[in-house]
Amino acid sequence: MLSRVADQLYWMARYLERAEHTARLLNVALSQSLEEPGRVVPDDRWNKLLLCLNAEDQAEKCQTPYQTTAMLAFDRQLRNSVISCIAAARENARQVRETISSEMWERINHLHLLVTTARLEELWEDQPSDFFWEILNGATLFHGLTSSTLRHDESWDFIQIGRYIERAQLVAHLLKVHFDPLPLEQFSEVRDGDLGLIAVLRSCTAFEAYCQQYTARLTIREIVEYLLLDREFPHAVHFSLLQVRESLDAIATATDTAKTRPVNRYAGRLLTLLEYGQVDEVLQGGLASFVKEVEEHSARVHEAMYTAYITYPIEAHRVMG
Amino acid sequence: MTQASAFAHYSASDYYDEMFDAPHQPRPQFRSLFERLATIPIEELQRRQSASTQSFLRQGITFTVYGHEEGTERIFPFDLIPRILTAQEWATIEQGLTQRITALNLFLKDIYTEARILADGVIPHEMVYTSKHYRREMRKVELPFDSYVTVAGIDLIRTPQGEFVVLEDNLRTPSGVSYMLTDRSVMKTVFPRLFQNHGVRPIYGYAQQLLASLSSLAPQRQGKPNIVILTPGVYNSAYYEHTFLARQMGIRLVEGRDLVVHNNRVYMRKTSGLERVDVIYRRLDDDFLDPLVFRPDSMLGVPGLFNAYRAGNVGLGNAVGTGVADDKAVYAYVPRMIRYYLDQDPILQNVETYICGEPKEREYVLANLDKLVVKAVGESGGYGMLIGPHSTAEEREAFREHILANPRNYIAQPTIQFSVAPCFVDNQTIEPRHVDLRVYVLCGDGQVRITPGGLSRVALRKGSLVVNSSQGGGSKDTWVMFE
Repeated sequence: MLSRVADQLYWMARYLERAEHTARLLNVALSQSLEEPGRVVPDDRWNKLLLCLNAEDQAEKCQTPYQTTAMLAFDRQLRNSVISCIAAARENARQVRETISSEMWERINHLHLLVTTARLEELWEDQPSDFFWEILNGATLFHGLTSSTLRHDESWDFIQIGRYIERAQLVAHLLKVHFDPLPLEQFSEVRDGDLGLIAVLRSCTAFEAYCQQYTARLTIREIVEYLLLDREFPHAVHFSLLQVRESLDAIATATDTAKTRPVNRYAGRLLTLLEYGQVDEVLQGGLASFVKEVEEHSARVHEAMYTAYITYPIEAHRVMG
Repeated sequence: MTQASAFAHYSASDYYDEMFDAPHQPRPQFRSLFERLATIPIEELQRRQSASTQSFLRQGITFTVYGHEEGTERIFPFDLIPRILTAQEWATIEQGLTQRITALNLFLKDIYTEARILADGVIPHEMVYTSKHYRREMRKVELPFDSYVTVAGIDLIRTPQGEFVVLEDNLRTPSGVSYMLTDRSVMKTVFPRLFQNHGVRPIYGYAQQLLASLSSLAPQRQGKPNIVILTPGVYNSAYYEHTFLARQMGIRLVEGRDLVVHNNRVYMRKTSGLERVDVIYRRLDDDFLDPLVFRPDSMLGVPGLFNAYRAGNVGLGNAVGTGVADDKAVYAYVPRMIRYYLDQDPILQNVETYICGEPKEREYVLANLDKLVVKAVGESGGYGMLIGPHSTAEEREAFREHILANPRNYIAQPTIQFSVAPCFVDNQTIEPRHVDLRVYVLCGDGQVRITPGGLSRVALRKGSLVVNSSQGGGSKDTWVMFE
């Protein structure tokens, strides 16, 4: 596969994952306000939302939920807004249109039309979270079509890597924003019915899955354990990084190069953090420093992947045919 | 005869009408289409028109308009009513274009090698050597099968007398073929029953034929040639077409940055390493192809590509330097080329052309600016053009100055009121609009292949003679009948 195509598939998937995350967070925040009618909404929630999306510098322009939604969903100047991410994902898809299936292209094109033609003033009158549902459903459909219409070869693997490396970072960051710093004893407090905690889980589509695992008894410790270290839940950091490694291994095999490459080594090392990590140790050492380590290792994997497959120097022994 | 409700206000015009030979009298090949359309109420036409628009939008079949805000994507308007050509009309077009493209190829071979036609005084030297698309670098470069033009898009118009004449030869990187193919597939989904029993010749073989023509450009090597299509990238107005053709042919779409030249050979950069490339179908103008030889500021090209090409290590379709043969002043000499190289009379005529570089003709042009169409010789896409009868005094004055400043750069032609075809306009009524026909001609291994059909471009603005997509044009499906 062309190096540039690999690069663009990777970013297409990353941007789409980011768009989905933003849309989901907005959706959760908006529906949360419906569940507590009449209550004074703590400012904290919308601030955290900005922090989760690295948009805290926009706080001044985000005084009301309407403004925050307008900014995070529809502001083209904001790199991480839903509209910017979907436009970027579609732009990348457009440049690899001959590689992805028509079904995938039409779906992402449709998503783009959906967000570019939407008007928040109108949505707000009615039910804005319906709109975010539609975005999330569209993205889900895209993933389904990717899985069922694209060959599961290198192109699929670069998409997987982009999607899951982005997800791992977004979820790790979300945990940090919500739960760090916090006095240790608070981690084990049982907080049943705490809407804020439910919102965190919902932001990762994890509420039901968490309940099946731990029952509806909510503690921050267990939420961190689940979203960070579970190896079977698709939005957990550990699960995501397993996908990254699997796809990197598949690419190493497909491109006929040894697995001892730095990129596979870094991915393995990153995974070890999660595989042998233990929640109490993580909390004792500080959630923030653990998340930082995950982020640094991820950045290294990203760079090594580029050196290995995309921006490698031209050497005679790599020349074929 | 029942009269189609949508045709109720169809005004007969003074031009040749593709569908009617007298008011409400359809030509034989249009009769059953006309009768079918007569049974379809306006609302139904509106529904199908909107279905076709949705189909283009959903598939993201758009082009970029220059000079507007960056990234303005538009769909190319599609008209529901097909244009039909009889087998006999098509046979003339096919023979005429085969003859024409053969002569043009011989001309290119000649001027880049012996230049006999210049020595014999059939075409003035300066006409060729002052063309901005003449590439001195191509002198004595040997090409497989002496094949210069692999893909040509020849624009034809029909005169009031009903004859097809050649308006322009596009021999560099003609576009639009994807619209020819998608118009047909949209037509089939929007009007499935219309096709039945009509005996329309299929056009789906285009991609295979293009692939075959490109394969013939490969340097002699073991195994199947590795063919790629080189695009200027996503900001090019024809980008959709490049991806479309790559998918149709099953070849890779590459950008300049995907290719590297190493030891005078061209490779593409893959995740697994570098892979040799044999043939490049380039949709990039000569100027941008190789910054070491042509424009040094080109970021789109591949440094070293031209040397690899000259060494015979990679094939290019079209060859470098073909633009000299579609220079609008050189165009005037094509009938003479046909006589010179083939010793035949041209089957398809040219439009009468005045060359502003010739003092006498220039005088005539300047005296008749209000009646003529003036064109800059090196431009395409409807840019750099004056349509005399539709122009203002200031526009004419500006062109007078342009012509006097650089006469070689301009030609003029009489304003031809070319044929009209019924179009569904403004989503409510059927009216005549001017229509041309771009036919795609493929050459390779000494064979000429012409897909039966083409792109009928319509000037959707009432009275307009400009059909280019960048200037408010649309297109229709073009049917060539088996018999």
